[in-house]
Amino acid sequence: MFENERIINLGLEWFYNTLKKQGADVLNAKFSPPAGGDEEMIKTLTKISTFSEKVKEANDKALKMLNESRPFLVDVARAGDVIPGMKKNLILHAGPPIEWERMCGPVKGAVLGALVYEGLAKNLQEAEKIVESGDIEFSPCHHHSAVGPMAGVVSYSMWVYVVENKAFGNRAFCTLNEGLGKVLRFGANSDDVLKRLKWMEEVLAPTLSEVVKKTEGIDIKAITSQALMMGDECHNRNVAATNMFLKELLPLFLESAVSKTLIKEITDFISENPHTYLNLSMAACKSTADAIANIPYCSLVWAMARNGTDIGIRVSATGDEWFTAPAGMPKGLYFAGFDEEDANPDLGDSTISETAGIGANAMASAPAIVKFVGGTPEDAMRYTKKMYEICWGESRNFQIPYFNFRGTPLGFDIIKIVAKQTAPFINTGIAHKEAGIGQVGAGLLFASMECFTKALKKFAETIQPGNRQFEDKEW
Amino acid sequence: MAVKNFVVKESYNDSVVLMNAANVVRKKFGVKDVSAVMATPQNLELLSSLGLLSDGGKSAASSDLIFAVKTNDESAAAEMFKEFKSALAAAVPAEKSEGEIKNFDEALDSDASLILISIPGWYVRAEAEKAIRKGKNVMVFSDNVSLEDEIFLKNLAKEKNVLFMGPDCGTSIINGKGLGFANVVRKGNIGIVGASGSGIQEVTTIIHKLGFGISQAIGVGGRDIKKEVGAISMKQALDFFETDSETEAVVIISKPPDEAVAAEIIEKAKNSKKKYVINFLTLELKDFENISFASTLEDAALKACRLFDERVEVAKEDVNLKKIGGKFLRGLYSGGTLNYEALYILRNFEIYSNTPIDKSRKMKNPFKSEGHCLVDMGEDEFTRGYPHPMMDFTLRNQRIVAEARNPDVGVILLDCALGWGCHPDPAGELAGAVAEAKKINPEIVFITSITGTDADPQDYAQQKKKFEDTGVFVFPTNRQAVLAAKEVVF
Repeated sequence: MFENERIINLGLEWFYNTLKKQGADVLNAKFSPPAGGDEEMIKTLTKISTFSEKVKEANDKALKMLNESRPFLVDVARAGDVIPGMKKNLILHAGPPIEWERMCGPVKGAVLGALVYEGLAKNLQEAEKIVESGDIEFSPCHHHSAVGPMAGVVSYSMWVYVVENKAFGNRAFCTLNEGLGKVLRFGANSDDVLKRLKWMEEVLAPTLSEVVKKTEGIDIKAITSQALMMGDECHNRNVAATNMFLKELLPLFLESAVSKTLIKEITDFISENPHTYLNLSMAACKSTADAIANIPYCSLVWAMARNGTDIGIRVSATGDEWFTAPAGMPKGLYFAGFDEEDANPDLGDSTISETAGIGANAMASAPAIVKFVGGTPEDAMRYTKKMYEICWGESRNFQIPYFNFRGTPLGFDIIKIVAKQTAPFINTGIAHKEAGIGQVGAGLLFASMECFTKALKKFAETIQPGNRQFEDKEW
Repeated sequence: MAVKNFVVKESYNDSVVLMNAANVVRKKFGVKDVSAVMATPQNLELLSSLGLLSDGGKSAASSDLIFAVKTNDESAAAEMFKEFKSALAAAVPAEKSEGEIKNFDEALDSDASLILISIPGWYVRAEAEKAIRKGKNVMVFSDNVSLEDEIFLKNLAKEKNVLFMGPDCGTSIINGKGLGFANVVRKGNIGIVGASGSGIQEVTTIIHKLGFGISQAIGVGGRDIKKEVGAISMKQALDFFETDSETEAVVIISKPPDEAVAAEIIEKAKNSKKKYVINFLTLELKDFENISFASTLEDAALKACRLFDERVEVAKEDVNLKKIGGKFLRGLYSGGTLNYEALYILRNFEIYSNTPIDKSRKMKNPFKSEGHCLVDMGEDEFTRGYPHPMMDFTLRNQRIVAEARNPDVGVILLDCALGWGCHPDPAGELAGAVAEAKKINPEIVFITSITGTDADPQDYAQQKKKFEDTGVFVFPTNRQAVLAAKEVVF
């Protein structure tokens, strides 16, 4: 029964010292009250703990699915042709659902820009009138198997990456990245922004589509895994991954009928924008995370996203429901001429990266990122390490050389998050709070604890016996 | 007088650490109304009942720390808070090397087989559950664990085939290491299962003094033998000893179990290949082939040793005590089982207690003595706001002096526990109060036992001398001390 003599002391330092003096082999563990000592949450956690074996089984299964996911880029196509439920008067946006009145500046800016781009309005003023007339519908990208960085605006004619999770057959979509600075996703909507979008629609995307279609798909997980070895975390640093993507494309271009001039134009565009890979990676992460939606008893997060006003999460066992809280303010580094006065609260679907085990969860692989988002290389290590405490397990594919090739923390567990009062860590771009200006910096923050607290309450209700809807589900 | 609350946001500290820091302030400023607690709803209620809660404190969250003082002087309050913070900083080393302090979840991944838990009771369930699920044996020192949580955890431990000791369990000795309050005793062939700490300490030290030793001492907590729990842990411990090749005899010490539970335990002992000595305190039964029943803790230890050597005798202290009639006996105990044993030995006299055997003799107010009374100062009402009396002598010493002020008091009966986890100089602490009491009333007779061995870190001989130098009569066992007190008073 007492196979070895090692003891762990949890609590009074006095007893630790006493055991030390007796020459015992003793570890001193630090105690901090679960849920910060919040009694209601402790009760909720206790209630959940009676189902801990079922939760463990479900979470193990979900973790396995995340690890087994095999996202491949299989096509580039027009949103209207591939995104489920896409309509001409529908605009998709980042984050949890939100009505026009509560949308933040950059999302409004991107929406208006998109309406002009679609030809639904002649100019931004007219676009605003159309929105206010109620003719335009809004819906989160996440409700359409899609994700979008920052404002995340997707309209009918925009082209999207089509990523298929070959392990489970589901698809996910994300627009093509426009570059940094004055771009639609950060709320900019001037003529040159729209002109670039047109070029992407008419030139870039169809060409990519043509060559990607000829392949059996490009393995995105392989690129991301390799990029982590090369100093990317594939959320805010995509330098290596973008180059590798280009390396995949080049032979395809050369084997195709695409003109040299066009190849030059496209490779220049991709080379100049080290964030090209972000959108592709996000689609891959979305196709991965979607696989674990709706698993009974599973307490892992399958979506975490911000619309610049709210942050919201979805948890596997509670299905499609969003649990929201006000979006936080990142602490960051600002481009010349801007400061935190200009910053919009946290924005974008790009936290799908962390949901799938990269981004901040892989920051320790990408110490150079602190030059972009702030902090020190030690911080980057620390943040990733901290995420192990709130994740269910580790990635089999994404590894961190500095941690002796330990897998990245994978599968945010709302039980651990609330118990330890540690929310997922986010690194992010920062948009100007007013429409039409664009990116002003990048920074760091923790997701709001409130949405996890809300989610945990619902989770506890959902797993109670007698919840028929739940028991009847087969999986 | 104005009440001032200082709130430190998000600063969890253990209550013992907080109390010690508050004590530093009390001593330095010579004020009484100082308290430092985590702002849990219970603690807010406690502060409010002490008249120490101000509006500032009311709005604090559970994870916040409140430092509360009552004073007329605003600047003195600030000074006290400053002192408190520096005392707290001294108590909590700022930064530990990473190897030493671990996050509990990480620590659980190590190959440790035993977890000692001493966190506030209402947090125990979650942490203990994690440990049990990882296949670890658990000892819970904490009190205030709900009965429901105890039953849940013990059933889970049984299912996972690990041992759950406690809760509210002061003493265990596992593989020769003392957990909680435990004496240094010889390794040997006697296994101990006890419901409480001081009973285990008393029996193990007497066994040691008789020249024998113990294999393991397993404390299962005072409620284990209640019918709701059904002695889950005690039965597991008995199963463990049954197959343990080191153990030849098993001693069971506990308050009388519920009838059905007692029957079950005795049945288990009857079917055992080992020899048994059982002390159910007030419940004495007829011996059975391999089972002897003992009437006191001393008797239990003696009978266990006599299984192996019939000649052993407990040393007697020959003391010449004069009878004083018409005065009251006051017992001030830190060990709950010793207090209960004293009540049992003196059952033929009208004696009041906060933990009486006969419910009709319950003290109206444990803080105020009446008639002959024996007070268990390790009970909850005394440990709210103070560490256990085996660690901290503040309340017991105050009470000793208060008793001396009453001319009707003739005998003060004490206990004094040595061993790991206990105060480094308990006799020195008590002797100080005794000396003060004797100045007030030189006629009072002081009697104590020392629960300890010559191998304990406090130095038994020196502790004994400190008592004797102050004129305290010292006995090697609680039974002998109680009988001596009886001779004097009755």
